[in-house]
Amino acid sequence: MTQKHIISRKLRRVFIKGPKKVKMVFKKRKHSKQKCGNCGKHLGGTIRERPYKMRTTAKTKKRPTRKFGGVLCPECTKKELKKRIRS
Amino acid sequence: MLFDIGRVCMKISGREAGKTCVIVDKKNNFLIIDGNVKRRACNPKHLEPLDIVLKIKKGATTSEVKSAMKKEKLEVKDKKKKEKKKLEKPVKKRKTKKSGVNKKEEKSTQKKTSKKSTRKNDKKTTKPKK
Ligand SMILES: [Zn+2]
Repeated sequence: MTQKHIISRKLRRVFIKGPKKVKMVFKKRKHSKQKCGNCGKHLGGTIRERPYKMRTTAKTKKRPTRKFGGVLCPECTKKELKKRIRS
Repeated sequence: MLFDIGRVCMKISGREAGKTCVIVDKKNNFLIIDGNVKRRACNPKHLEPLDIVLKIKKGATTSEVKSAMKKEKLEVKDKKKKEKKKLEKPVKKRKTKKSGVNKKEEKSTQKKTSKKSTRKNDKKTTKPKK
């Protein structure tokens, strides 16, 4: 009998080529893409990795250096800044 | 007009979004801006005009623009130059430590090594007995 947590497709299957045979390895899945807090659009310039890899990567490689970078999309930042100026 | 020389604006798009700047000159369909941002040509679609106009000449330098901004009580950010002193200090400390602490370190290391050696010997002696 195969184990139950493998049947449920909770883990990702990765095939690694060896010298004589192909080996199957189970790995955990990545989180979903990051979205804009206002309109829900996918954000550019952001990465999706497992937490052990996010810890070692630099902060400038995880989000754009713009104001509200990694939170709002560029079109929503324009609207937000215009709102703050005019109020 | 809206985008005349001396008009204070805010940048909306790009890396410098949210920073204030002043229009200095015009070039074809582009505007040349200066102030809290790097001096560059900019598309007027990337600017949002404010209701302040400064009295400056056409093609004014950065120092002239910043002094005019201070008179209007706008925030001006200058670069800091205090990094050189930080580099010199640790070099001096290392020299003092090596010259003054050498004798103490030698004594302490001797004690530590003696203790460690005894512990290791104890372990080594205990293991083969078992
Ligand atoms: Zn958005």
